[in-house]
Amino acid sequence: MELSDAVSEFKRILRLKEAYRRALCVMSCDNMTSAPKNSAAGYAASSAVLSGKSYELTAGREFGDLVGLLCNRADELDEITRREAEEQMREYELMRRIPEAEYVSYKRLLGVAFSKWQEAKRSDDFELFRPYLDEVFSGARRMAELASPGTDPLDHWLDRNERGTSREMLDDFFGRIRGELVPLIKRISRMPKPEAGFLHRTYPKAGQRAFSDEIMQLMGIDRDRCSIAEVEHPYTTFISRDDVRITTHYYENDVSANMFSVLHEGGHALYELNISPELSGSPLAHGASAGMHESISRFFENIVGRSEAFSRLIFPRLRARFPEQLSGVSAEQFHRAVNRVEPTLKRTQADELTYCLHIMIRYELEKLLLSGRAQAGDVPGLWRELSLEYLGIDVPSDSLGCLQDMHWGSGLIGYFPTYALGNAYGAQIFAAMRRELDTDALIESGRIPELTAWLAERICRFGKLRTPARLIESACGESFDPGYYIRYLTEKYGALYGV
Amino acid sequence: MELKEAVAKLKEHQRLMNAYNHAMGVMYYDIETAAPKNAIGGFSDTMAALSEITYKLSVNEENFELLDFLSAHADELDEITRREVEEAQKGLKLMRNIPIDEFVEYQRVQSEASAVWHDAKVKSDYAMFEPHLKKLVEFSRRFASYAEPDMDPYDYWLNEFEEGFTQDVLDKYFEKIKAALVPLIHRIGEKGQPDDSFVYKFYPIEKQRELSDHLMQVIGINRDDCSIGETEHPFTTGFNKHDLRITTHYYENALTYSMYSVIHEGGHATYEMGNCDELIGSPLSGGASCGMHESQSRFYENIIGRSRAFCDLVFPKIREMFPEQLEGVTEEDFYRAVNKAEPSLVRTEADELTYSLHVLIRYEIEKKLMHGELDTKDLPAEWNRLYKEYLGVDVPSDKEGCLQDSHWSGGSFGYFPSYSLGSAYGAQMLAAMRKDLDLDKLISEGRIDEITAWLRERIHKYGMIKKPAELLRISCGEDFDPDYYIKYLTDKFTEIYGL
Repeated sequence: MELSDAVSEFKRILRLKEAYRRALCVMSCDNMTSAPKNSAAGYAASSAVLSGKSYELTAGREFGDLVGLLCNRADELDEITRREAEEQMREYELMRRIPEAEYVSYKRLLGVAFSKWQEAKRSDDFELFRPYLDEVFSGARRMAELASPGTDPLDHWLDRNERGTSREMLDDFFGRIRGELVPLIKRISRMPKPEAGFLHRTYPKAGQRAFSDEIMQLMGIDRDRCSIAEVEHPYTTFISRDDVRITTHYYENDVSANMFSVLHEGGHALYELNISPELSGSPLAHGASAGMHESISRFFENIVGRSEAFSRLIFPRLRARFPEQLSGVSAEQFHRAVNRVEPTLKRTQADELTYCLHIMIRYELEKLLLSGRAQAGDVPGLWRELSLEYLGIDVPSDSLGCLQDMHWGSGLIGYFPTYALGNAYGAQIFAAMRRELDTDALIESGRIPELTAWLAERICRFGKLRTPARLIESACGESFDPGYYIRYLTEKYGALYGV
Repeated sequence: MELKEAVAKLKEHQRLMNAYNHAMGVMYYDIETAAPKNAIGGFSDTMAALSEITYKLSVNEENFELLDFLSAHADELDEITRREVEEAQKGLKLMRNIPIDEFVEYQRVQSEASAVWHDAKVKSDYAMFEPHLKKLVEFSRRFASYAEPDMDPYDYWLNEFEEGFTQDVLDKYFEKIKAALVPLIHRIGEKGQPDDSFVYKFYPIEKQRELSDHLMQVIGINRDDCSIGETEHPFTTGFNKHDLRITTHYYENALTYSMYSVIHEGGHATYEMGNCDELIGSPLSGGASCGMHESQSRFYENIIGRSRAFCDLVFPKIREMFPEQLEGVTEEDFYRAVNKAEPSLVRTEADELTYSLHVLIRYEIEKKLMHGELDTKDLPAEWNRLYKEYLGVDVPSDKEGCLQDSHWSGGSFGYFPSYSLGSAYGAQMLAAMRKDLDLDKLISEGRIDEITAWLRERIHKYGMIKKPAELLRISCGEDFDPDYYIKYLTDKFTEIYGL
């Protein structure tokens, strides 16, 4: 086959794959936001057909040969096509080593495990989920051994979720967190807590909706390319470069929940909205990795959104919308309230400082479960022990403890660390940005799009053309260093709490 | 080929088609309700890719052979399968004759035209839409000639939308309507009009949304099977009997616009929710024809919704919701207001009596467009001339004139007459229903579900298993007869206006 024919056939398949992906994304969005309840069965049936058809496009020998041909002549390809071929080859190689029957039965197991997890969480009955959790981990171990023989299964999954990440790297990372943050949190816990009751007065949804619009405007999000909807648990969907959907959830008794959801999801949106148009329609037209995506969302949520400069920018606007609820409250008080440190049971409600400890608990359990040194039956007990040790809190029920996250039930093993890495990437990126920009002045004067432009130039525009490690190097001028994150937190919270 | 094997192949084909159509339907609903504006580019690409897949799935020798084989064995098939084969053959008659490139191009032109029409309508700028319309007219004429080279192109499309109702039938039908209604409307014009100014007070959208919920409940719609969205132009779409979507449009200064849109679209949804379970996933689910669908939506909107009994039933609640706006307004005032018969500009806001004249105008224009007797450039002038002649109104802008409907922008020519036929079917069904049920009593007691049950048993449950003419015989015991419609309108409006 001529190279040019191979390239056009390859692009044709990718375009089809992209059409399936977009259709499935829209259906999923619709399912979460607009669809009536009883549509679930029809939705499941149709999306299974489409997923299967999409999978078939790249699973066959023929496609493997096509990609093989391209990879053999990689030097003759343009950069985008070369990276596309590399990524497809990697996926193909991994999948090729797993016998189809085993893969299908593992997928089926995950389907069941997820519904068992839902049931167990709802009825606070870990025992319902326990046998499935064991099977998920042994299945994950098996998949890892098949796909990456001779590799530690944990390393396989870490690398799958965040290219270039290994147990060695994370052990060091979490070791430093344990050594430096745990004592800081202990010291802070002895200090008086800032007043935050005013955040929990009644804030009508209509006013909060208008406030979301204002935040999105301050972030420079083009509403012709990004919509906002309401769901139970906020998330962001990327359909195309000109079609990103963020979601939020309004709590009338918590004005900050929506505010930080919009900042967080808006950050995810800005990443995708700033990917180079040359990548449009390509599988490379997305954030480089889960961790890198999280670094940008948390950059806007925490590094910008919970900064003093941002509090000074946003608070007068918030108070203008809710003058009664916030009468007598100052920007300074608001800033302290949104940075209140208090260990929580739930990861998703954790503050910026204690967040990584939640991840550390999950990481340690994943290590034990994946190596077989612990069984699912040990999880509730270990969860309680670790929560007490790191967070100093008692876990009253498994629903609020080891059943709180959907990840394990859906087969996301070794995924949690990407959240923590995202925070750490963000702090390092921020340090690099500050060498060039007066971020406080820009934020306080409402010039946040100038921060976004910096991120777009160094991170976002590349999509998946570069790996996370390479992006960090090119953006920051050095390789990944978790020390920035530890310093960022130590300095910020040391100053806030005077410890 | 074994018959059993052939049937299994047909069902598998339908399962795949159902999944793709489901995805495209959701994408369409999404682009109209939730997607950000610039999503349109990616949406068009994705729709084109999926359309190409479905086209290839259906338009291929293997499928033709399968269908021809099944047609040859029609006597041995169960009723549903036999009708599925018949409908597939009917649908493919056109597809078998359109080259794929033209079909894909058509899809692209169509979704572009649809987007441009939205803009053109907002700006009241017909010139920007005209080139797109011209292309769509050309496509329609060409496609008709591909499918039935010897048939008049307009007859082809009329027959596609409503089997058996071609120009020779419709010319006579509309003559009859014109002869009976124009004088009636004229006589009403000499009478005083009721005061309906209360309808146009300020009705906040938030409260109107609550009213929609209430109305859906009153007409018996299970919200777990049907959701409601907001669009420029209300419509209904459905993916199976457990997943219907209706939409409405709220005007703050027109209470009844959304109200009757909800009842109308609710009627469409009720039809499909009443399909028998055997039709889930079958291409025969939904309604028998456009006209039959319209007969049901208008049955709920006009025959039920604009009856005195219905006004007595719902108005107290409406007055309670809007006490200031409706202070001193009685049920009878409301009844008179929602039955005010007065020539107007916009079809969807037309009253029950003048409605068919709006359709007549479109019928005459389509006829000329399809015969090449009217250039799209001259469309606004022709439109305005006919509105003056039949309805005696001056059209002030194309926004309220020839740009008001979405149909032509979606490539539908020959659809409008089915609206009028639907009303005529409905009036005939009403006469039959009155022999079994005390309609006024049921409505005034809020027992609309019993009316729905009558319709479900005779119409809804069949989906497309029976054709429109057959359904009329089942429900009314006789063939189509437009005189019921003329009598219904004459009696109703003679009484209201005391002629």
